[in-house]
Amino acid sequence: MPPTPHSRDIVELLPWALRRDTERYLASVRENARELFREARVSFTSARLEELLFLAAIQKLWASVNAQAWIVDASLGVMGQPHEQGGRTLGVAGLRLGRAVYSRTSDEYSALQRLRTDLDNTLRRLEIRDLIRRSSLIDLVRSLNEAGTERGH
Amino acid sequence: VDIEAIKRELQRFAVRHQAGLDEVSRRQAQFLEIGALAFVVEHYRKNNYAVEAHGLDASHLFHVKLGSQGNPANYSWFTCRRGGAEFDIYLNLPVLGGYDDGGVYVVDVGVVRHASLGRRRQHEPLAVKNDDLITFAEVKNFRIYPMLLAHFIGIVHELQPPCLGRRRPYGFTRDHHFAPALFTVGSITPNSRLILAGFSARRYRVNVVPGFDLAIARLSANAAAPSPLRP
Repeated sequence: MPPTPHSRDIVELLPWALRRDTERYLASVRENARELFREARVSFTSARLEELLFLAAIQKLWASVNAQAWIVDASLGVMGQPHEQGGRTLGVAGLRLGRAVYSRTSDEYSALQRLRTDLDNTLRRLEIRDLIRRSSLIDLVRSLNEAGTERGH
Repeated sequence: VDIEAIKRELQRFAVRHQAGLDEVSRRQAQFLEIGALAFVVEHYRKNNYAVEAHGLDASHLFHVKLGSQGNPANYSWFTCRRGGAEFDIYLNLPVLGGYDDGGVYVVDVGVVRHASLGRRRQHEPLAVKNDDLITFAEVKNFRIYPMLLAHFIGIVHELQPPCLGRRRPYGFTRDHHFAPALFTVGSITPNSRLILAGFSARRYRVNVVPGFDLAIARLSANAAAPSPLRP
């Protein structure tokens, strides 16, 4: 089943692989939606489901960007730890992936960190940072109930 | 919350970072594999191994093997040493199956006896002999669901059958090797927890690590944190 209009607008912003993963994720959220609503003790409506999928799409975008930035950062930290050899200190200075270089000083690394920071700032400006970053799907469903009147549902 | 305002802002964000999002999209699987390699390296470092990178270029960059093709010896790898124990860790390593059928499997991270790549004879397949494989790790960009667990157990069955209810090789636990590991970015479903408990009861020795991106961040940020990987 295709995503609902609001979430589709988010999904269509994404490049192919991210779009495919997000669509799969949203399909699994949709599949389990009634159980999520039951667990959150919020009555199920198609409008609430649409809002849940919209927020879940943004959550998936954040998770993808954040996870990659974390993994790159942590991997450089782990692999870059120095070891002694013949009185010299050696360590991995960065990663070469084909033509791309990821090191603490490379353009690729800086671009990834900027992407993460800008997304974080955007979510903060929109006042959904905590909701997106810290909430489980059940928390998201509960937030729909709390904000339902404001949104006219 | 104004849905239309959020959509407008995220559209602007996507335009500003089109190249960055393309890069994240293209590199997702590669960085998961690199993260798995870093996790395994850190496991041995936490168990007091001296870990040394080989095959670095002149700028000390680690040359990452990005897929199943190519000779792993032409890329970078790690060697771990502690007392008499010595072994190598490779990314995207071809390994012969455990049943002498000539089939070759490419594991995301392979831990093999030291210099076992060099023991290959001419005309033999470009793969490490199964006897030289000590353990391995796979990484998936999914939450843990039952069929993923079944798929992983199938790989263990072909590559490391002793881990499924039989005795592991002598020295495996002493040398702090970890049972074959499945890393995933997502969470674990309740049904999958039941299945994992069943594996444990049947003495299937495997590691399943959900939320792997957060686990590696915790591992790198806290020097005192023990490795979550079990023998």
